[in-house]
Amino acid sequence: MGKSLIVETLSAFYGKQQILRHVSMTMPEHQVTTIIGPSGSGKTTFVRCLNRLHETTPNAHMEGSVWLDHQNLYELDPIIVRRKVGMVFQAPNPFPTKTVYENVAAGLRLNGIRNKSIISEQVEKSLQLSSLWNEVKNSLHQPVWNLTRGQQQRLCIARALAIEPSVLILDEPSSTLDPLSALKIEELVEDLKSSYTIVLVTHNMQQAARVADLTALFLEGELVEQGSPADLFTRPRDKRTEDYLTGRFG
Amino acid sequence: MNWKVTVLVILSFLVSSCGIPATTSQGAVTAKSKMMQLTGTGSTFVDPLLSVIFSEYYQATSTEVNYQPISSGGGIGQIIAKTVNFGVTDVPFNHVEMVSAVQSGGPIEEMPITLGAEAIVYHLPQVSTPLQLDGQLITDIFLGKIHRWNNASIARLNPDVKLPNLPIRVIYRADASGTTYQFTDYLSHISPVWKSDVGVGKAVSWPVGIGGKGNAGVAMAVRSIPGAISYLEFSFAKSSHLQFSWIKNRSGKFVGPNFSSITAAANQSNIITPENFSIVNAPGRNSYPICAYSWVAFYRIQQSPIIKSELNQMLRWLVTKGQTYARQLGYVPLPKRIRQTDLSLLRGNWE
Amino acid sequence: MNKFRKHDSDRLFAGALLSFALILVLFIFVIISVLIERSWKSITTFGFSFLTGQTWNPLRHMYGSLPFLYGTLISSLIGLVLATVVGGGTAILLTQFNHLRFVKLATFLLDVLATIPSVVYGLWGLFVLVPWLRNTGEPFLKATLGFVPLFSGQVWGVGLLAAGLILGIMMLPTIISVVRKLMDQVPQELQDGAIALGATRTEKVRMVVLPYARVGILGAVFLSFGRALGETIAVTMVIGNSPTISSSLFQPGDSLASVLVTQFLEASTHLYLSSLYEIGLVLLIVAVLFHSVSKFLVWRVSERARIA
Ligand SMILES: Nc1ncnc2c1ncn2[C@@H]1O[C@H](COP(=O)(O)OP(=O)(O)O)[C@@H](O)[C@H]1O
Ligand SMILES: [Mg+2]
Repeated sequence: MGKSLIVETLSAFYGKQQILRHVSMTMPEHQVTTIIGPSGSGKTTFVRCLNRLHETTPNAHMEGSVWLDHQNLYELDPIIVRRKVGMVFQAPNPFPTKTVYENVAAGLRLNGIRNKSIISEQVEKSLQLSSLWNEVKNSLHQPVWNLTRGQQQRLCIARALAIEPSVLILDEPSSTLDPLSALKIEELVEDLKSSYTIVLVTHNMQQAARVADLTALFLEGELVEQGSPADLFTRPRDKRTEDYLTGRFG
Repeated sequence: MNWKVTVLVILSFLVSSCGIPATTSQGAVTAKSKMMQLTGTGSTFVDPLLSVIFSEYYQATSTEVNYQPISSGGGIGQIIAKTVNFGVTDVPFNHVEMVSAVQSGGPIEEMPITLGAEAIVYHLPQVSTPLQLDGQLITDIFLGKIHRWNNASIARLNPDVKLPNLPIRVIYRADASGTTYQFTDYLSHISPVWKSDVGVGKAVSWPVGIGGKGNAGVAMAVRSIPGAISYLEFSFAKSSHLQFSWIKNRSGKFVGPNFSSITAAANQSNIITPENFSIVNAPGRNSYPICAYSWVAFYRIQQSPIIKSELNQMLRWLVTKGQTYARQLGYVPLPKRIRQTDLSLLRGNWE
Repeated sequence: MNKFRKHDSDRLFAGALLSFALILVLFIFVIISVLIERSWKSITTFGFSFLTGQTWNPLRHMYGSLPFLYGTLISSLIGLVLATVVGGGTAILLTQFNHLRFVKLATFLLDVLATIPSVVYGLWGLFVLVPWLRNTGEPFLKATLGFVPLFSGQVWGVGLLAAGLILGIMMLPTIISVVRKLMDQVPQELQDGAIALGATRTEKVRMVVLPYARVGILGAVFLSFGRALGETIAVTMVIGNSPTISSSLFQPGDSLASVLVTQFLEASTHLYLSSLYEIGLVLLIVAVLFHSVSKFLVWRVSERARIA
């Protein structure tokens, strides 16, 4: 399923304000690419360009291209793009009016799948993948607000996985969770990387170091440096990376 | 300064600032009567006439008459509540109202002050000559028995008119009104069926049609709905430029509402009392069949002698000199005999 | 010293607030008790049959308010359906499709519409809507849907349908602005969540926005319904003022508020007046009922939003 995601000279704007400047990078398949950087450095904007969510914001636009499986995503129907590139947000955002089951099934229904047994099968599979199944299998048709925040976030992961994307983006998925739940999410990311191309935004450098195959540092809308976490954290090539790592930046 | 003095000063300032400067020759009289104000309320129909008469009366006597046109029923209600010196109504007090009034302030005097008629108005764009209708036909239309304008019984009365094949749309007054009273009074004189099934009243349960609020609401509805028919105060119908019909009177002649046909109808009844006031369906070759008087009502016993004499003077003026303003405003002056009855009532009770 | 004074002014403020609240309660109590007192004769004469009686005939001293209740509810219901469908649709368009200049213009026009007095709506109804209904709208409905009793019978122009449409148009600005506010309150993260799953804008509205705002919208709708119940002038001008109950929307009817203003001034007998007061009482009760339901629904949606 996994395919490499290749970004070429990506620039992003809100109105006239340029947020990202000529970012080019590759996120290889079956690997976890972590994106780090201080708050406001453009990490979220960057990943929102990967599933073409950026352009749904009023007055926002972008330049450059994003390639997946030899296709430029910006030449495809954005609806198709978002089915190939799943996304999990910073704060858990399950649909509050839907049950646990219907949250996971939502993407399938959007894809026009009506067959009940297919949907049930897929829901269970996705909940298994996000290691939530055991916790919710008896409350599938309950409202989602009975779940803890950590469970809700894993539900959102299941919801994203249900439509079988090639790429999974997680934008600081554990930053609003308690440490235990955060750890669960981190383990989950490790498990999933064998089947997906994973992009994980985090500003927790320990986490980045633990799970990443590749790490990229964003500062003020620019990709400053990328490489294996071992290289980046211990032998930074760029002066700004060193400043950032030693806490001298921003 | 003593507070009474203060109030007096303020009052006199207010009075002098809104009054017209008094001429020296009338000075003594006006200084007293300037404080004098009569208040009345009631019928909206007579308001245009009364406002002219009262303004002339002020010019002549410096007595101010403040008239609020709310409605005939309102006039009766305010008399019962004793908040005004006189009330004006298109229909005299009925039994219940009379009982309440007597309990409240003693016996009531009522007398006619002007004369009017009702026109049968309609909206038929292609028809230019006035339609000719008779009482039975009008009753049948308002009972919902005739549905289209080209009905044979309408055609029979109007052989020269090309009647359109339009549905007849009945429009009535939705609010209670003297106009409705007089119209249903006429229909009840014509038709026993109307009398028993619908009856006579300011507001009745209409078998068909839609209601408009007030003269204006009815006129607006008639003007905007082709095929509409309704009844309207004649002067209002004329000033609204609506078509109106001629009606067959008791002598079998078709007459339209106008100055002489209304006068002719009124001249048929020499004695008009609050108990026996109806002049609809009057005999006589030239009589228009839907006419009625408007009435003024006041308490026979007045607490204040000044008010009593002012009211007496004003009413006397109203039924004599005041009548000369009627015609130019589209009203019909009271017949001589009715004026004489009014005057003798005023003389008998007040002097 | 300073502290002391502050404390005093706090107490003064609380006292003033309390007395205002008491005055309000007293005010409501007085209104209701006056209405009950004035309508007592009618209440004792007719009892429950005042609500079920179909004849309103002052001449025969028969006062049944069902035709007015019927006309009020039906015309308000028509207005409601129109305002909800058209207003809801417009609100969705205005919140979801971000052509800023158009949205600004539409917002301005809606604000203007909201300030037009009802008598102007009534005049417009009488001179534009009613003739159109008579010549085009109702004949068309009759030709296509005439087999349904709702759209049968003589075509007048004025009537329940006209009243309902006018009410709907009058409700539009309120419904649109309330629904817009409710939809704006739907968290952006939820909407993004739907988009990220591959939902189109329409699917997003159906899947996330409307369900989230659903109960609030229902509350808004009830709130406008309450307003429609009491609307007087515009309805009086186009409803036909005929106290009859007809299954056809083309037929004239009458409403509680409308009969009150048309007949109040001339009501001469005690029973007549008393019955009109009871009409007022019925109107008040119906309006308060709907208002309470709407408040409850709005409260529930905010409560749920708080939990989630
Ligand atoms: N909707 C928006 N409109 C305008 N500016 C925005 C918007 N969202 C984010 N920004 C700006 O873009 C910059 C990058 O933000 P973001 O991508 O959220 O950074 P990060 O995720 O790294 O904290 C910030 O300066 C932020 O203020
Ligand atoms: Mg961010």
